[in-house]
Amino acid sequence: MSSHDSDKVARLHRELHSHLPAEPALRLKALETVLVERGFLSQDAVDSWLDAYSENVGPMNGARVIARAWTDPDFVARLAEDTPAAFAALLPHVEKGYPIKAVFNTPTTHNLVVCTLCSCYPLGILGMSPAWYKSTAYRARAVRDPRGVLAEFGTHLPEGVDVRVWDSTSDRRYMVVPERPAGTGDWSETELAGLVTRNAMIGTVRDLTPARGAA
Amino acid sequence: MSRPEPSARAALRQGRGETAFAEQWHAEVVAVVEVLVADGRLDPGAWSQALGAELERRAADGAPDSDATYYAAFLAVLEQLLDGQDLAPSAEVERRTEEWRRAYHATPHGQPVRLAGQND
Repeated sequence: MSSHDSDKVARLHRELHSHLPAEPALRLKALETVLVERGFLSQDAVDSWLDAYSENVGPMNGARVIARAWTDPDFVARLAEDTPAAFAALLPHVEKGYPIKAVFNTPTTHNLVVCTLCSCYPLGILGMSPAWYKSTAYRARAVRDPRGVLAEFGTHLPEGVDVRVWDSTSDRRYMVVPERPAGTGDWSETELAGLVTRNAMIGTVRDLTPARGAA
Repeated sequence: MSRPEPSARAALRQGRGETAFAEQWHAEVVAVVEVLVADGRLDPGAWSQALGAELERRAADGAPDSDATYYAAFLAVLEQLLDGQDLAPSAEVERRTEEWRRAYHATPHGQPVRLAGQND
């Protein structure tokens, strides 16, 4: 058989058979098989988590909570006092009891969130963290040089604004509540929610741009 | 054991057109850990410590500071912890990996892939 023929046979073989997943995906499949067979994992629970994540989880949840906080002083107090309860009140379909705490930007304070150890993030509420949040560079530098990190995101803090860095752990995760942008006094809650970005909730962005339709 | 393809789970997205997970298995391994933690099979503190140590080790070894490195570490730590707790012994995982590999090779494209003796 010529090499041309053997290439053709190999191609046909690939086309005729199911695509073999990448090695880690295959190993994960095997791991799940073992856990399910031994009764330590429910496949339905994993699928339910993925479905719930697909439908209910993402930065829009934090954006809705923040927009409500911008428009309702009672809700702000609740959010500060018991963040999971505030989320549960506004978003009953989202996972309850996640260990999350809202931290509030002010004219003189800016908050930045990191997980120096690994990658703790309220993903059950706000969706998966961005790739850079999990990177060694961000985790190492956010505490040591927060202003430098912020500058790389285009966030230049004026003199007189202090930075507070919050180190997330498995017991406590954080969400930054940015300040409501000026010029949005007549905006609806939905419009306001459209302004809030994931990076603002981590704190790498401080000023939100009040341009209607930005969402 | 078969799941929808990534395109069917449009929602594994971060919003505003951004994909939350670059690969389907990234989402699945996160889901497995979240479920094991919620069920009390994995201790969240121990998980976080082990993942942190593995990420540090890989960074020290010069692994690229990338999502691929992160999720490779994530899966490796999960395997180690589950082996250590005897929830999923590594020899059993190796055996099942080879069985899945053979099943994929033996299944015509478009057909559901199942292990021998598995109904679904």
